[in-house]
Amino acid sequence: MIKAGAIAKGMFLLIKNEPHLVVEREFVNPGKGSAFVRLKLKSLISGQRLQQVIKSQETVEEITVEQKDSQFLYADNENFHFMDLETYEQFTMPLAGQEDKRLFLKEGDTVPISFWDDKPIDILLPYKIVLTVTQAEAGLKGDTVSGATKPVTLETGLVVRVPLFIKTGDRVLINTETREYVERVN
Amino acid sequence: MEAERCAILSRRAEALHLIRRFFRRLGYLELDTPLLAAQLIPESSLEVFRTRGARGGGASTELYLIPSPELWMKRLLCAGCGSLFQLCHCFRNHEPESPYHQPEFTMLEWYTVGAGYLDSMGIMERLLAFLLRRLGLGPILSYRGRRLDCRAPFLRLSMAEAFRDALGLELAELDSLQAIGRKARELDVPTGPDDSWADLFHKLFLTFVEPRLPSDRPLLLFDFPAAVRTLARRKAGTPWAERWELYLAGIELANCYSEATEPEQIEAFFSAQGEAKKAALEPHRIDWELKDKLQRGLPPCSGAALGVDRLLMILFDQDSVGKVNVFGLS
Repeated sequence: MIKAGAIAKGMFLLIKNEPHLVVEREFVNPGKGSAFVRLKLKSLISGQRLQQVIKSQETVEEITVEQKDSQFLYADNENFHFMDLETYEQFTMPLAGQEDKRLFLKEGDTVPISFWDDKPIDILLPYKIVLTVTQAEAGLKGDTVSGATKPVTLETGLVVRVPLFIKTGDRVLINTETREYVERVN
Repeated sequence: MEAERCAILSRRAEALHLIRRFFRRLGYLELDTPLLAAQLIPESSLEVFRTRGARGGGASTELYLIPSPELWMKRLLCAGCGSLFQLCHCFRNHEPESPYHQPEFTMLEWYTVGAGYLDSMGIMERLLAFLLRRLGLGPILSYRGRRLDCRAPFLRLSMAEAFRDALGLELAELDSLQAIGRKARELDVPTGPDDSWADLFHKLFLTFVEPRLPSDRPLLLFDFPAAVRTLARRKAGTPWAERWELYLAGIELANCYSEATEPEQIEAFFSAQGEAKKAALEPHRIDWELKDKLQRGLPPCSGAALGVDRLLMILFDQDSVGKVNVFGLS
């Protein structure tokens, strides 16, 4: 257990029986009665955001979340399949709640996975990843409007808008949070 | 970097000079009361700094760095010194790291004899207008890229209206611990077995109401629940206390009361806070003598306290009080 006043950004807490990441911690002292901390939390299970205000003197359960490098094997209709790179054991994680992450994982990729209570709970996608364009229409000749874009399909099935000069086979850097094109990679 | 630091210090010095000029011209007596005190007003939410003092080999006594100059200023109000103001350093211990808090900070505190909290709203508006004009900042500020229209009159919103706007509920109807506890659980707010009415009120306020307060203009949030025990006068025939807080850019900056003069209320405040203070991390002696003085002869007046570093942080468009108070502990 930890006093709310000692909670810091980046810690993991058990709130309503779900592990949460502390995204933001703000100290508020109305100067009358008690002092409080306002927490912005993110559930590691559902991804839902939650705001909570608790007294500085109240206690909350701090939990240890471990990260293990794992290799992505494949995904079927229900689960992601990974291999723990330390023990070579295979494990699965349900797709539900994080189906979208499929669009950023290629077979054989190594990604860190958060474990709590020996259970995998979260796939930690890197902020930016490189993917190959598998389908792109040729840029229209004469279209010189700066900032013009077109949709292309990437090797994982993700569709993003990119500048007109991008061709099939190009490698592009993608921001996994905004799902936006960042730049072409040579 | 050094040039920028010097420029901010120079603007800070100008602002402090202007604050003094504003109050002196209105006839307030400027004070510079001690920062060390042998006893304090009990305030359960504030932790203090303790030290020991001894004179020439004699027994040592415990002394405290003041969390506010209120104890001295109210003594002088009782002594008949008239309207008072002071700019001084104050000290608060055991506060977590935050861009808006420092263990040592600068406070402006002023008391206007014969005035109520509504009169103090007008003084607050005039003070800000005076500072903005004389500092050459104009009435429309930009804070962290967002427009802040500081023209008077400031937006006035009662606590009851703020709860209505944010939650669609009547705060006055949550008039028992049971009623507010039920509402808190309904709204999925974590509650503890020792939560008081004031704790639950603050949890609701800080979770749902404060984050939605308008922040594009200065806001005077007024008429706080009397159940949050303070030394603010009760508003006759209502569940409210004559108190306001000023929010600038969504940041709480000042707190003001019509000062309580009812002996029973003063007695109840000192004994309840004194009791709560026993659980403090840094217990301190309580200024019972001041309690007696307040009960016997505090003149009707309104007092306000304003965090000067926070104000300057906003006026100078900085993201933390440490940027305008460059010697503060970080």
